[in-house]
Order: sequence, then C-alpha cells, then structure tokens
Amino acid sequence: MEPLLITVTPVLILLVLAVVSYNRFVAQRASIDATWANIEGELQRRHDLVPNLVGTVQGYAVHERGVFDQVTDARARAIAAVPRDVPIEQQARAEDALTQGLTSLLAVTESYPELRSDVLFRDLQRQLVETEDRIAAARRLYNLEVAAYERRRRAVPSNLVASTAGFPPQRMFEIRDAAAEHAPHVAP
Amino acid sequence: MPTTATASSPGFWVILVLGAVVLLAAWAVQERQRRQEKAALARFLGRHAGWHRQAWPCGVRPDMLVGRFAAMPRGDRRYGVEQAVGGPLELEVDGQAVVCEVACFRWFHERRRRSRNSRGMSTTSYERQRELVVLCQLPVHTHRSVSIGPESILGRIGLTRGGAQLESDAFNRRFRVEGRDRELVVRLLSAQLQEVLVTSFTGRSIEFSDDLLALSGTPDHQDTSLAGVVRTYPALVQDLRRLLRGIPHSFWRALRPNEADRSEPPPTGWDR
Repeated sequence: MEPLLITVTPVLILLVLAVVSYNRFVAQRASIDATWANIEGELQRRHDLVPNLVGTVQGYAVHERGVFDQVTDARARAIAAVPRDVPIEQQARAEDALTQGLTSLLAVTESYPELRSDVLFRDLQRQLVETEDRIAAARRLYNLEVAAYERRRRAVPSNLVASTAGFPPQRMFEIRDAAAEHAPHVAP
Repeated sequence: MPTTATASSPGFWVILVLGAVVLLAAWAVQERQRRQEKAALARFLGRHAGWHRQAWPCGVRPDMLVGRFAAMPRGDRRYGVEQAVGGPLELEVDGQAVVCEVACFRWFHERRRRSRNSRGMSTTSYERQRELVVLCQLPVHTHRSVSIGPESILGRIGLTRGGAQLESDAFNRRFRVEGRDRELVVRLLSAQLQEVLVTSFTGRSIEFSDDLLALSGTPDHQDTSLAGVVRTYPALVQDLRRLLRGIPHSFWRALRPNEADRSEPPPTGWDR
C-alpha cells in the first residue's frame, strides 16, 4: 500500500498543479478576449464618429476635398481591418492611418474660426477625444493582460502546460496615442 | 535606622535646588522651541495668502477622514489632526491654473501596546503615531477611490504581486495600486507618472477619494529656515504641485463632467 501511495501522491500533486495552471491560462485568455472586445467596441465608436465629423467640417471647409477623401479612405481601410482573421499589426496600421487622417482634418479646422466655435463640431471633437482616451486605456489594459499571459507562457514550469495544451502566443496592440493629438489646445 | 534627607539637612536642599534647575531648564528649552515653532508657523502662513490654522483640514471633519484614507487610520484609542494649516492655493490641474483648498497637517492615532512585567502582570500603554499629510480638494470627483501606497517587503523583492500591475517593473515593486475602476487606474498611471513616482515618491502614499487627494509620507527635503513640523510643509506643497503636474490629461478628461449634463457652472479656472 505504501509504495503505491509514494508513487501516486506526487503524480496527483503534479496533475492538480497542471490543472490549476491550465485553468489560469483559460482565465487569462478569457480576460484578453474581454479586453480586446472592449477595444473593438471603442474602435467601432470612433469609426461611427468619423462621417459626422467629416460632414460637419465639409459644411464650412468645402475646398478641402483631399483631406476629406483621405479620412474617408482611411476609415474604410480601418473598418476592413476589423475582422478577426486580419493580423493585429495590419489593424494597428489601419487605425494609425485613420488617426493621421483625423489629425489632418482637425488641422484644417484651425483655419475656420466659425467652425471651431460650432457647438456640433465641438461636441463631436469632445466625443472623439473621449473615445480615443477610452481606446488608449483599453489598449493598455489589453497589453497588460497579454504581457502577463506571455510571461506565464514562457516561464518554467507553466510553459510545459502552455505547449502541451497549445495556448498560442498573443500579440500586443500598438497604435499612436490619438487623444493627445486630437485634444483641443488649451491656452496657458 | 538608615539616615534619610530631611528638610533640615543640606542634602535635601541641594536635591531640591538641582531638581528645580533641571525643571526650569526643561521648561525654558520647551518654551524656546514652542516660540520658534510659532514664529515658523507665522512665517509659513505669511508666504501663503489666505492660509490659516485649521481644526478641520479643507473643512472636512477628522471623523470624515478617518478610515477613508489608509494614511489616516482610526488606531485603538484617539485620532485626529495636529498642526493643521491650510487655505486656497493655485495649482496646475489638467494644464490649467485652478485655485484649490489645500491643507497640510499631521495625522495622529494611538496604538495599543500590551506588555508583561517581571511579576507576570500585563500593562496596557498607548503609543502615538504620526503621519504627514497634504490634503487637496480637487475641482472634480473621482467617484471611485484609487490608492497608490508603498508595496510590502515581499512585493518589493518580487515574491508577491498584489493590486493592479502596470508596465514598469520598478513601479510594481515599489507601489501597490488599489482601485476598482481599472480604466481609471491606467488613465492615471501613465508611463511618465510611473517614472515620476518611482524617482520622487517612493515610500509615499497617494489616495483619491471623491474630490479629495491625500499625499502622505515624509518628504525627502525640509525648509531649514523653519522649525518643528512646519519645516516639512513647503516640501509637502511642492510635492503636491509636482504630482498634479504629472497627472495625465486623459485622467482629468475621464473625471470632467459632460458639458451636456452640467447643471451648474464649473469652479473658477476649470472652464475651457
């Protein structure tokens, strides 16, 4: 009886540790998915804001067609990069292009004081910056989750569980801080 | 019968005179110290227009502060504020000059200590513990509290990880961050602020609760031209300024009331 116990007990302990480690990986994956869903929701909100913003600016700055086309194209590419099968880096570059387009659009508005004082425009710009703030926070939360997951996926002995159970690597989501570029300038 | 000093013996008078001299000297030293502290307090108040001694820091009763901040515990018997001074101060909040109510004080609480003497009898004594605090009334409400305090010894050597973890390992080892709203926590603790806290605020506590911000702990420099606890107050105010300057805009934007929902005018200097 005793030799059996001596053999079985360590195996059981290892099995329990492996199950605990596996469950932690599952929880981390769920957390990564949840934070990613949060980013997608906020990106979607930003995509939805763009036509309204372009429409409002067009009402005042009719001669800036090039900028409007740039923003509209960038938005279309960013929407096309949302599906899951698109690599995360490609999605990040598409969002960066949209950020750049929006920066150009907001730069154009500097030449139109009436537009800057338009209540609708100011409200849209505020909504844009708030959305971009939420994107930035959600992106950092996602990257923190990914960093913690990757740390465990590579560390001994949890890497054994990760490789056996086939937990895939996760990529960070790196984009430009759009809110800092689009926030209204504050006079000192 | 052993001989003892009586009123008629010269030994008695020598002891009495010596005792009186010692008492007088102690009183004189204490009195000098008290006067120096009073003068230092007057000098400090003279530098800040509108500042005065306060019984309630920022107008908040001590029983409304106790337990609300980790730096202001209840203790086992008495608690309260000492040497509280405060008043309006112009600070930089979200890149704008805003006048806020600020108070510097020492929070005290008494901790029970039980000990046994040689005859096995237990005695209870109370030890007064003190913490330096600068309290600031912000023009916005955080709604949910965020607390950044020193990490435990085990956390500092990397054996345990409690609270929210951020990108900087140096920061995670020095600070424990507690906050139910994780989005607000990451908005507050930008990479730059993490660095500022690691370099200049290690060992200190920063707590947000509603519209109050409490920065506690002893600053690493003092104003030697002042005396007593007041010599730490200029550094407390300076640290508060530095901390507020380091807080990212996105944190303030998260707290700013929606313009559409705003029913009353904002505080002075807050309106964009």
